[in-house]
Amino acid sequence: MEETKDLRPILGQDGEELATRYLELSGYLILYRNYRCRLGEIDIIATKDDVLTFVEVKTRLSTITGQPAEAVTFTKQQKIRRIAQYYMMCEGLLDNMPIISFDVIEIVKDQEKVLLFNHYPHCF
Amino acid sequence: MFSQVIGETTLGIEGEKIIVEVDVSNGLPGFDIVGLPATAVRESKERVKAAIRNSYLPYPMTKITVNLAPADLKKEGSGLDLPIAIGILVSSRILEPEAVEGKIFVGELSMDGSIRKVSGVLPMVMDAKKSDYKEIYIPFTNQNEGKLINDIVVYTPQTLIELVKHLQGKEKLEPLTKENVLESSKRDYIEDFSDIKGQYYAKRALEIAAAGGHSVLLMGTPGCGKTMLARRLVTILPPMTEEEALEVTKIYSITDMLPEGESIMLERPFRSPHHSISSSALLGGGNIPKPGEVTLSHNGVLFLDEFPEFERNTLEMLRQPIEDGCVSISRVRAAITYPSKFLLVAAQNPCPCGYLGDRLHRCSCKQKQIDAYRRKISGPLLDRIDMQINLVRVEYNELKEKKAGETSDQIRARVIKARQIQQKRFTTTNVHCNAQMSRREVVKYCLLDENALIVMERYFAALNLSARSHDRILKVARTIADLDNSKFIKDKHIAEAIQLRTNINN
Repeated sequence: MEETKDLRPILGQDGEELATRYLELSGYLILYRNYRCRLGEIDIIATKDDVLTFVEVKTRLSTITGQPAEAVTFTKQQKIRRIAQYYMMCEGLLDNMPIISFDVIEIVKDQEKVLLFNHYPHCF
Repeated sequence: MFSQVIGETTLGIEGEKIIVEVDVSNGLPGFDIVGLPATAVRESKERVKAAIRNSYLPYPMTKITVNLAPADLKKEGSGLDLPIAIGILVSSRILEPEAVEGKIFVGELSMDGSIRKVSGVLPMVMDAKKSDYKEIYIPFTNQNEGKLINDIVVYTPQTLIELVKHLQGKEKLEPLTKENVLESSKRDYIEDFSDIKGQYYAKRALEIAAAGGHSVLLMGTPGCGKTMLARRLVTILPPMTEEEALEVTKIYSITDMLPEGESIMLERPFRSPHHSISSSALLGGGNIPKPGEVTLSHNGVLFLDEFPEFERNTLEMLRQPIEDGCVSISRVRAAITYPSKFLLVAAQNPCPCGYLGDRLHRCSCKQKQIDAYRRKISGPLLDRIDMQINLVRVEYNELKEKKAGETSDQIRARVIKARQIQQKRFTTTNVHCNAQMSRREVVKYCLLDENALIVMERYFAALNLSARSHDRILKVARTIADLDNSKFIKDKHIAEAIQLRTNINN
């Protein structure tokens, strides 16, 4: 019965963990993980060199259904932009906006090893 | 950071300056174009982005707002890609604002950063010169059009990076060397008037048409040479003046119809649209009006073969351009006036079967059919055609004649002489030839001697001439007198003019 259990939430968490470690090693300061508001969720909010970065992490087991990054559709992008605006409003950043970047990190991995890891800065 | 760059677009056949303002600021990354851009301009953001990146120049990942002024003018075409890209580069401090001051940029960008051809460069360069800009940058492939205008420095970069290096002062481009293309004009026509055997009457009529810019209707049986004659009319027209040539080139530049490798239209245009043409193709039209055949034949010949086969509506629309020498097209988006000073040559058969009045062939039409055919050309339209002539079949011995007739060069020499007389006459006005005279000029310049007055008086009553016909006869007579180098219009001139006009209906 263990076999049939839905592994997707665990996979997603694994991927986000991996992405966070990568960003920290690249010199980013992680501000939030799984920033939630009523509009939705942003996986990682980080900052480096005065650039405020919103990261969407997509993790897959294989590329059979296409690249993970392809799943970040236009609607999804719009949603992330809205959440980002909400975040900046809460933080009082709207009047003096920093440079902003929307990034996507795509990961393909199975239980043992990572098959693909890509960081796309300034995506949308 | 804010920056301002000047670009150009076209409105009608004139260039129009567009101020491209670019603001790059922090905020949600995005690219907005405001200021009434058409689809091609709106889509330029993707081209600009790719072109800058593929030229290995930094593209600002922040909020970019582009404003195109004046805001109420619809911006057409892709020529604004380049000024937008330059504006972004100035805003992101790759270029100094001083480096683009007093300069105009025109060009479409390809995704790899090369600069592509755009239409309408000539009117843009002329507009830039008119408003005292010192430098203009146009696509390399449009260089021929840039050569024509003096007193402005023209650069023809091939790629965005080449242009950026030039503006940074790193690798200077060579300015385009100007050519006086008009002087090197040697016109070689394949067709010549000496090809035509017989038809002396029609040749004379076409000579008069060329000398005074009069419109002609040729009527004749199939195969008598109507089309052949009309095609050769351009070969006896005087060469275009520089002003005329530039006007024609402007029209062909905006419609992107300049012949490959040519920079200027040296030959007068000859347009012969098929009779299935729609009225908007003939007059010009579209959401934003584009020039039609009447404008494409500006300063040249518009030949309408099988005249009665055209849609009646379409033909009636020719009235305004014939009368005014321009055509105003009004649509929701824009109202534009295009020039249309063409020489109209129409050709038709005398009846549906084509053989009415022929010496050897019997006409098989019923009177009713003939009437219906003739009725297709309305009175008011026919009234506006200066000369209406009947052609007869060419006889065998005429056809076999060894002796070549007069060549186009010989006829053109006479035409040019007659035109020079007219130019001297009309120096103070904006009339170019006798056909364009207004009522006042007709009274002033068409002076009849005593005998001519008697002839005119007699025929005016006998032929039930309209007031317009009267004036048109005088204009043709004036041209005939000019060809004869006579100051006054004599009785023989007026008699020939009357004969040339009233051939068909009387």
